[in-house]
Amino acid sequence: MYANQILLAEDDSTDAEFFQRALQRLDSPPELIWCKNGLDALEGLLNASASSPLPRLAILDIKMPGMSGLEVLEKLKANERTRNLPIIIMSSSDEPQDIAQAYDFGANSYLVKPNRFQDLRELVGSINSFWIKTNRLRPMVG
Amino acid sequence: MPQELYIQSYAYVLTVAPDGTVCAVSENVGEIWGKAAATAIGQPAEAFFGPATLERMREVAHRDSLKEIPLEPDEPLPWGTRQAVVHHHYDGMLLEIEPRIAVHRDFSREVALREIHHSITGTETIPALLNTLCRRIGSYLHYDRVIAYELESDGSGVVREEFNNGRFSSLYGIRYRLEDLPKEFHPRYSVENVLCSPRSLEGKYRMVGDVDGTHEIIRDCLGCREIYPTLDRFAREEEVQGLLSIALWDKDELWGMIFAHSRDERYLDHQLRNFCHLVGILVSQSLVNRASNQTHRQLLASESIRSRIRENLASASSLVEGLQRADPGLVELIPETTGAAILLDAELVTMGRTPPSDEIRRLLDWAQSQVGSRDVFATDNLASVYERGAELTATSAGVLLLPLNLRCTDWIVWFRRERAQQVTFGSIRSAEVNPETKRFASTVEIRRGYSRAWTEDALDTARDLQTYIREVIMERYSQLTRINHRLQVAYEELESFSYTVSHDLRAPLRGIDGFAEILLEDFAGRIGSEGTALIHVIQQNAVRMNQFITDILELSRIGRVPLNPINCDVPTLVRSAVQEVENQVGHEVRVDIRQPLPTIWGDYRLMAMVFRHLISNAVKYSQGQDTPEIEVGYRRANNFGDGEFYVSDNGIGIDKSHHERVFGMFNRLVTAEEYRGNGVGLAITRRILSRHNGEIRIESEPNHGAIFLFYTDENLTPTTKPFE
Repeated sequence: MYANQILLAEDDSTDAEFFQRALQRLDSPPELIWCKNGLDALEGLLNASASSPLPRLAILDIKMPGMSGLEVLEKLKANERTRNLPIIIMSSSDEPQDIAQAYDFGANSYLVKPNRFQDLRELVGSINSFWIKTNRLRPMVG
Repeated sequence: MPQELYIQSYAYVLTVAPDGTVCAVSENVGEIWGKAAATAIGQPAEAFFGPATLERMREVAHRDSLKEIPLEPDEPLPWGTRQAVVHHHYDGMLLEIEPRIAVHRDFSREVALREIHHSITGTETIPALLNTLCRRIGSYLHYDRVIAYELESDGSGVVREEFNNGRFSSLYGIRYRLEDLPKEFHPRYSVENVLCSPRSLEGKYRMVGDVDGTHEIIRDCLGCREIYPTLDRFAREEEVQGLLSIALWDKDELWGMIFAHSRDERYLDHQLRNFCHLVGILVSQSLVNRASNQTHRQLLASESIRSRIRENLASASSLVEGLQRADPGLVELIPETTGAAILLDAELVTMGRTPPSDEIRRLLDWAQSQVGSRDVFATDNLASVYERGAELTATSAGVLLLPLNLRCTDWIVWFRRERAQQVTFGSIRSAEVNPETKRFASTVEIRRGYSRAWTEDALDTARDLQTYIREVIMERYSQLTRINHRLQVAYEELESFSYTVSHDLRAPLRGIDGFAEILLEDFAGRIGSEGTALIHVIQQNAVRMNQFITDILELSRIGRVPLNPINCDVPTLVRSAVQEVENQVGHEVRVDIRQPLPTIWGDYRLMAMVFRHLISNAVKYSQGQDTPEIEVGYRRANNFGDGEFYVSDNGIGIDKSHHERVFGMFNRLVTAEEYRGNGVGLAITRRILSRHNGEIRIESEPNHGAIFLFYTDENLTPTTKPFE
């Protein structure tokens, strides 16, 4: 069983609220779990169990205090239980080396944060259609 | 086959082996021995000398003393009034039996030495010293003509001073050639600097027997050693019956000789030769001291000029400028030079009278192989060492070359013009020598191709300058390196700063623009049309700021990305630039491409940015015209493949005083309302081109459009690190 949730790891509260508002505009939006830094996100995901299962999707910013989004990504992809969790890196950087590194660590997608609300809404809509509505994770055992 | 060894006929020579037998003798020993000289070989020394004499000889040899041993009347052989001079070698002995002058000399050696020493200290100049010396030797030792002969660097020499009582002609000022005192005979004077030859006894005698191991002593150390052929011939032609030569040394090099000639036979025994030896040493010492004092005095005199030059160098903005300053200039630094040249970083500057520039460059090219970077090269006869020298004698018969850097590619050169001299040689040219004619006859020649000789002082002045320049340059170089390093660090910090700032600025901007949008969507009804208009203003400014940030990011990126230059097709670059600009401005843009267009050598992405910015700029500033005209083309500069690409428009133009300012960041010459966009585009363009070792410039006047011309370095290679 998977909760109809998206985990967002983002240290900037404006960006987080921006994302949340865009998410709200969807019909039956998934629930948003917001972690303010990478460590919280990692702990939360690694401690998933039957009673508090994994979300459908994790969206990670790169630059966060403490652990960066790419570190979290690396660790999640190395862990047996979270290996198949779809992870999107969403960052303000469009530097080729950041994009390359994200994919090297196993990101499923790399998105550049849109500046306009309209653009963000469209993006969130696409994410919802593709990753939430269509994607089925392997059922968790135990 | 070892050469035969000969000795002069006035002495007898025997070598005695360690076992006490005679192993070699001069042939004339046969006369005393009574039989052929060869039969003396293998005989015990006792057959030749009495036991007391032998005992004394062994003692002297053992103690390595110079004491002569007078031979007794009761020796086994009739030696006569002779003395033995013992040369010690290994455990054996080499005996020189020579006549002893029985007659008491008419001067006291000790007094004579004092007087000569007095002369040395009492005279100020070298010529005066030599003159006194010649006189004293003439009077003590009864020679009719005594000359002081100074050698020059090419092996020729000149008679500097002379004492002459009239029995011979004068040789004063006469020059002799290298062949007359060949360099191979110089070492003969290094241990035993006195050679004496009484000529009334003709001939020379060969050494017979085993002379292994004694070659050098017999050839170079014996008082009766053979005189060399040219000296021999001189004595014969001049009818010199008594010949004395005393060598004078300047450290390891032969400075010259004192030659004494007499019409009558003259023989100096070992004691007298020792006296001459001492005199030679004393005088040599003094010559060297005097020369260095002279140098020292001249150095002091030229010090004021040197310090002025050093001041000039220190205060000048560049080395070339410092060296070029007149009064005092380089030419004055070294006296009696007629011209000078400086070659620095392949740029040649000349002063005074010099050969043509291309000849100077060729000379310096050759000079690279002639001297190490820490020394100077000087010649007063360039033609003798450099094949093109003969053509340059008018201005540079003499050159003094000073390398300034390690690889000897930077130089200072001083030139001296030819000084034709009428010279009287005391001998004829060697090519014309034959046994019948006189070799030593006066010949007057005009010496061509020589300049005034370079003094040691001149060389020292040059060396001094070399050291100083090296210090100055090295100091500036390390300064420059330090500055470069700091600049690099600052640049890197700036670029990483720009990157961080731009990224961090974007987040709040999203907040402003994005939430303004949400506000509009959700609350349009409640804030009305005026409120909506205000929100639009917020959004427009956010968009502007976003564009600024994008441009700064772009600018900061240019220094950081690797450069991958290729031949870029310009029309393609123009077409994609046009498309992007059309997207931006929302209407069609027409650009005229003037063929033929060569390819441009540069990183494709960065070149695309250049064209995009320039065309966007052109569009912006010509949009006010009825028919905006934008052109892209190539202008040839010369026939060597140099040229510039250009983007031109018929817009409002730029005043000449602003041509530099437009390339600054955020610089705008017209108000924002009329022309959208900001002023970073040209700054970005200039930065890109400078990374390509190229440049961009403007030709424009107000209301007459503008042409932006630019080029890249065709020799640019790919770089992976920034700032390379």
